[in-house]
Amino acid sequence: MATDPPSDTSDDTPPPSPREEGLLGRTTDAVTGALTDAAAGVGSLIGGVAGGVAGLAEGVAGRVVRSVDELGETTLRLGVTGLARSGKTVFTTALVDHLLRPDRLRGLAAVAEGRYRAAVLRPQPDDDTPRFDFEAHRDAISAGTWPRPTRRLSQLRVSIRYTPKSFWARQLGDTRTLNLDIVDYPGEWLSDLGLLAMDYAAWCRAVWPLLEANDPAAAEWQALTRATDPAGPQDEALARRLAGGFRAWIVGAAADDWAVRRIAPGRFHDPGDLAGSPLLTFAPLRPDAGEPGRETLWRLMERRFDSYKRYVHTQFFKAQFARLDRQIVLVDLPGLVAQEGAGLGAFTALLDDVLRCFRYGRAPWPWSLVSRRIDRVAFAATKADLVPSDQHDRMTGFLDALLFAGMNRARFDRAAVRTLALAALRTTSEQTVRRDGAAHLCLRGRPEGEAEEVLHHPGSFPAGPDHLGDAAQFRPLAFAPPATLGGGRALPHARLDHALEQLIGDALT
Amino acid sequence: MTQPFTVKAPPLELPEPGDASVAADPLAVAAPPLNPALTPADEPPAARLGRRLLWILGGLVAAAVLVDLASIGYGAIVQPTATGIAWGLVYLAAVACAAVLIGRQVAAIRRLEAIGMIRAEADGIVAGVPTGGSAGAAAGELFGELDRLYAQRADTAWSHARYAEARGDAIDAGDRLALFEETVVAPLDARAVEAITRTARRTAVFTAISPFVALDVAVTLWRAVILLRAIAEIYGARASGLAAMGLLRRVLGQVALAGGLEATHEMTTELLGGGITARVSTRIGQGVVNGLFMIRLGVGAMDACRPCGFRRVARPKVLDLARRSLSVLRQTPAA
Repeated sequence: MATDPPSDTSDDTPPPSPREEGLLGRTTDAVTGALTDAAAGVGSLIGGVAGGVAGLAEGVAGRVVRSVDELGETTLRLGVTGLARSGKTVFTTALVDHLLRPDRLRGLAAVAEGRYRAAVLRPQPDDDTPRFDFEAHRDAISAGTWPRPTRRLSQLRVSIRYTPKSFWARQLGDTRTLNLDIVDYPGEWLSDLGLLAMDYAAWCRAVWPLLEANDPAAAEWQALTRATDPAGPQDEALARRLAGGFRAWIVGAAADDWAVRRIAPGRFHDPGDLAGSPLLTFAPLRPDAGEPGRETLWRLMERRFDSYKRYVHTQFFKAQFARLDRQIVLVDLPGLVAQEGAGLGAFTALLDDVLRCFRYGRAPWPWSLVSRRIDRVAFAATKADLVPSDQHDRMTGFLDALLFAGMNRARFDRAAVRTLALAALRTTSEQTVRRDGAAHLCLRGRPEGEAEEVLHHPGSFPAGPDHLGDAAQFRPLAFAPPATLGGGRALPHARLDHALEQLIGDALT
Repeated sequence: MTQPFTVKAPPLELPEPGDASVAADPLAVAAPPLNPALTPADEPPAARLGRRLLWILGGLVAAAVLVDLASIGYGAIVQPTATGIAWGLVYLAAVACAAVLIGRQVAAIRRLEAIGMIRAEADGIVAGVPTGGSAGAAAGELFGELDRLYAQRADTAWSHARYAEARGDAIDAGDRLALFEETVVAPLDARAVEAITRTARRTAVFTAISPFVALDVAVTLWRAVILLRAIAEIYGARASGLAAMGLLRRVLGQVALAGGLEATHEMTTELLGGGITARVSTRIGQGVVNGLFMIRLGVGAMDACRPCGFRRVARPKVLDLARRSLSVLRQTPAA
């Protein structure tokens, strides 16, 4: 858990040098930025302690206020954890849609036993977070298209009313309410959680080997980075050029290289209001130049890296992830395998970094009032509809092997863990095809960008990460959502009900 | 349903010997049995034992008939009247009729298909992997069997169609079995329960008013066999193997008990010279015993003939059914 903001930057306040005076227009930014950083650094020592106490008090007060507000209601925060294109938005949309319309949730015990009454969307608790645009995403899916990639953080609350299972609970009130808060965010931001554990030097050491592979698109920036002396002066223009090149590189390469994604600061992808701020104007420097002195470019970058970490820690991690009760981890296994295992190790490392940031288990009683931990986790191999169901066991086994370390830690911390092959929105149906004297279970659906349905057999899913030699035998086809999803019917899914049973089934008893 | 327009060539590998991961592939072609001569004999030992029990049962019934015949015949010899001889003939005819009727019911049950294999497979699937997506070869076979049993029958076609509509959602075999139980089997359960309560009521009332020991035994036996047949027909299959034997043993035990109890009670009332009330209450008690037996037998038959165990649907409780069907006897003593 490396979540404490660094507090050792107070002695690096740069007095404005004559050279910088001369370049007033361009250096003002750097100076004010540095001063701000320094002030923040001084404050953080005291603030670290005071903030801890204040945070605790705030936590208690917040919970008390909320408890009075929602007397008799349970609130769970569900974390949907998945890297970019793992299907977070589709999962969240489908989840909410099914909760509102539970016709196809037989695997959810409350529904099967007839205790599930109804669910509605309610205003979310955090007023400063945008609302998850459920209706727009649902419409996009009904129209046969996928929702667009998520660009910002958003939140939604679903309130479920149900009849308790136990006789005594029913005597207290015939129904109860469960509020489920779900957060959607760009998957690129997750790699920031891995950065929280590094300092600037470690980060540079992690980035440096990746520059060895010559990327023609980023050749100029790579050359510049290699040539830049970390002990050089704090040149803002140089810093901006370096950061710009760095950003172009990670945004360009991030699409296919997990190793780059692992070290890529998430906000570089879609800076929004932060574009051009010192927070996002840093880049890696040569890590082997020895101990750099004060007022060097290295110190400048280091301060900004630390500021970035602090920003991520407060804005993203503390606000969203430190308070989760339940978690589902989505992994686009068919997509990962279809890359024939390229960067599988880097992917696992990245996801493992992310999973290390969460606290699992159950706090003992007095602490459970203020501290929240994730006590139920579902690990889902998503897009199971791209694999025939007779091979879903292999998907589950593959995921078990891939994320063994993370699952094991969660299990050790007494969280309930379950693995499943999941399709939040099922785009295919199944049909057996006789071919060359053997029966094959095939997928039937409409490939993306085409008008007509096809029957498709993707081949054999590899039995595990160490069987990736077989990956060439597996070729999934990208299907579009079926065209007939409107009309008020529940969306087709695969095991979303089991996922829900794992995540909130115990809260609906 | 539209036909597929394109079929992509599946790049499937052939199973390689010694490769466990490939052998586990459900799409792999199943190997034929090595030597057909080594397959087990047609008749399992359970069936042989069952047949022996059938003989014993027949002997017991014959003994009861002989006892009755002896008493009637003794009366005819001591005081040979036309009435006595006529009674004897009528009795013989009745027993012959009962034998024929029971034989036909048993034959009808034997014509139905044994369900034991399906049950075993279904239980295996449920006990196996509850989460994994192993709609593998065994599960596929099981659901094929279930379709064969219920898709064509006029009375289950509708519920089966509903099941077929929804089964695409249930990927895991356990889920699909639960769906099947809820949509197809549950309506059959209701009919079976109805048959059980009806039979129990009739048996109870008849026992309460029947004049002869053997007639009582024969009718109870007959009704039991009819109930077994009705339940087997409702589920479209008969119990097989150990389950059938268990049912048979239950019938046998009850018949012996009924006969024995009856004789004892008759003797005590004769010896102690009980009045009409004592006699009536004895008969009613006997009726309750026989009704309860019928319910227990029926629930056992449901269990044995059902294509899957009671998982989503609760097993009917004997006491509930008894309350529902045997309350009719409460009004009888007043009569």
